[in-house]
Amino acid sequence: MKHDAMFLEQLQQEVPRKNLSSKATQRFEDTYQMLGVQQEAPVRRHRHKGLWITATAACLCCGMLFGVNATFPAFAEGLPVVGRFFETVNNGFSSIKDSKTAHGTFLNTYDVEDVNLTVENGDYSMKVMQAFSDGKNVGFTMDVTAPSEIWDRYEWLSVYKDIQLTVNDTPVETTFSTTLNRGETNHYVGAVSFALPNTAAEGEQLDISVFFPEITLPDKLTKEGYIYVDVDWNADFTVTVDTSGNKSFDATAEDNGMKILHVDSSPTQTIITTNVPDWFDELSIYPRLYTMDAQPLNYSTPLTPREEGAQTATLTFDGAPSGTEQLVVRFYDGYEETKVEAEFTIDLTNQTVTPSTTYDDGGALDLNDPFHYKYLSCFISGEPSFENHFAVNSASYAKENNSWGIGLLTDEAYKEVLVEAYTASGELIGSTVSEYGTEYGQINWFWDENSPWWGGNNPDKVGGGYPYYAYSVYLDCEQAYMPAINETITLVVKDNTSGEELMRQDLTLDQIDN
Amino acid sequence: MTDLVRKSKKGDKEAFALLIDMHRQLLYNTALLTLHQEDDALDAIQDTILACWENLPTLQKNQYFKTWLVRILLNKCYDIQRRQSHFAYSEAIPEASDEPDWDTSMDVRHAMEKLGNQDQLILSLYYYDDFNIRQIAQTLSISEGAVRTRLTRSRDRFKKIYLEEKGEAV
Repeated sequence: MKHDAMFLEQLQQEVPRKNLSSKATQRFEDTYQMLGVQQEAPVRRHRHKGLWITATAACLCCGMLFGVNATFPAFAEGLPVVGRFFETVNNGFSSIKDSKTAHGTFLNTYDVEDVNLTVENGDYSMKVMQAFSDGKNVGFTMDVTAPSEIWDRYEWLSVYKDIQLTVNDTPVETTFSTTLNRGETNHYVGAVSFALPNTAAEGEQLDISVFFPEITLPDKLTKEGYIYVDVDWNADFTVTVDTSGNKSFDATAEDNGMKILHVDSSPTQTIITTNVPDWFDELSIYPRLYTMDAQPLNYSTPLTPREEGAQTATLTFDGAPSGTEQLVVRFYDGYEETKVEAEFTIDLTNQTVTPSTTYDDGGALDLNDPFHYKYLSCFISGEPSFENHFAVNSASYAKENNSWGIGLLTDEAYKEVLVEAYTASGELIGSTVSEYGTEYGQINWFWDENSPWWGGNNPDKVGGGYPYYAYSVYLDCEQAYMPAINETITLVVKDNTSGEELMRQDLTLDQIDN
Repeated sequence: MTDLVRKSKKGDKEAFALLIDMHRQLLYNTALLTLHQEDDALDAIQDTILACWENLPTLQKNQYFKTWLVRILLNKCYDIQRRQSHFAYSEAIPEASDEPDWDTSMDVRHAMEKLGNQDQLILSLYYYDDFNIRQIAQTLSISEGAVRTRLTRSRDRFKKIYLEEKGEAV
């Protein structure tokens, strides 16, 4: 029936398949930006906000507003993995790596300026702590102080909406949103980075003026979306351009048809200009930039890094840590990252670029290195084996965020459990306490028949097929621990009220999933 | 696709964008068929993508992603319809016994009108988006029998009219 060409022809006339309009295409791109996939700023809709301002005014005191249809403004930042694991308490700049632009994740390794400017509004205050500019971008850290009832309840807040920014009195289009994570008591810490409208010279003083009209918090109480708090913070400060870490040089290196033409390196960005070999086919090429100890630098170029028909592609990555002498840029053939089409070592000290094969040299960047993976996991297939009503479904480690995710099944109703993971030598990797529900802003989840799209034990239902309830939790890790392939960890589940150990199971991380 | 789903569930945003890209046309046309207004459809799509990303870890079987995605989209579409309830309502999905009176449908356009939005949606999912009958049933929460009946009748109806217009025997 499906290949009835005649019917399909008629159907196409009567139920035309409308091609995506430019508006639709743009909306997709905007949405990706909200997710942090591309580098420009999120575009936020307000079509229904007025309705909700009215609806909530009677319900919410203390000037808080929320908008059900406000399209998850801090969405990318509220992701379970991202929200929990980046290190912000003592190093606000590192949170930049999770921003849309990812310029300056390693600014804490540079000689940044202290600003220490505090602006207040009611119960909330914001302090600009440190700032830096390499003449291309500006980054600054923020410390927000919030009432204890807010800090107790929300793990993160974000600033992004209607930010007004000027540099030397010239308006700058804001292309950032940022999340501030819960730090010390009553404090949230994070960082902002943005591109300067024009390149600034060494020693130039930049007068920065930034206005944040509101902050956004996930509203777990009403389960309806987000709370917006008007703050109207205006901060004026200066930062002096420091180009001492900038390097820019041409190159003529070639590997497998790929040529590196130019490298532009600074503390906030690394721009590599390449030619376009025949095999360079838009989405089928995956450039990655690493330090020599295999630390990846965020890639912030859109998925299609060149214009159609263009001979060159400009790839933009985050800046490298201070003191970095060499980088490796690698071009994989796909997401699996199992084959390298071309690779170059960039010597920042000598300002040279040469083809290299670090993927095969036995070092940290060797493709066969036991630590070369993005994800490492263990999945328990088949009928679960319950121990005190708990069974492990999966355990996975994501290198990017040093995050551990654990999936548990249970055949009884929710109970608050403490989940711990240990190395084979008994060292605690991390732990977390479960949470009920699957609400926005929530990190640990538990789903049952009250959850959206719950399929229950009906295998024909979407999301179904398991006659069990399920926990999904992410471990809090005081220190990053990177496991190797085939490493065994021990998972322990305890009743968080009584402390009784409910389940203990060894898991071998035997699946590489790049 | 399941590989992209797996990566997306682990927080790989680029994989998720690729995954959504694979379903752009499906999302667009389904939302348009349901809401008719492009702005509303795009609102629903945007909310769907964001909700999909946030709730992806709750998807227990990766192969159900497409069905699950469309279910979220339809929920978002119905949310929008409900908000606009002073002039629009979410269309209840009738059971097979509520089929249009095919005998009184005299032409294709008329037949299409009698099909209603949901049947157009079923046709679209089936013929354009390669959903099978079970997937449509899961997506729309109706029985497989209802889907099969609608598909068969609508296909036969169109086929009959098409051939009649061509002067050919049925």
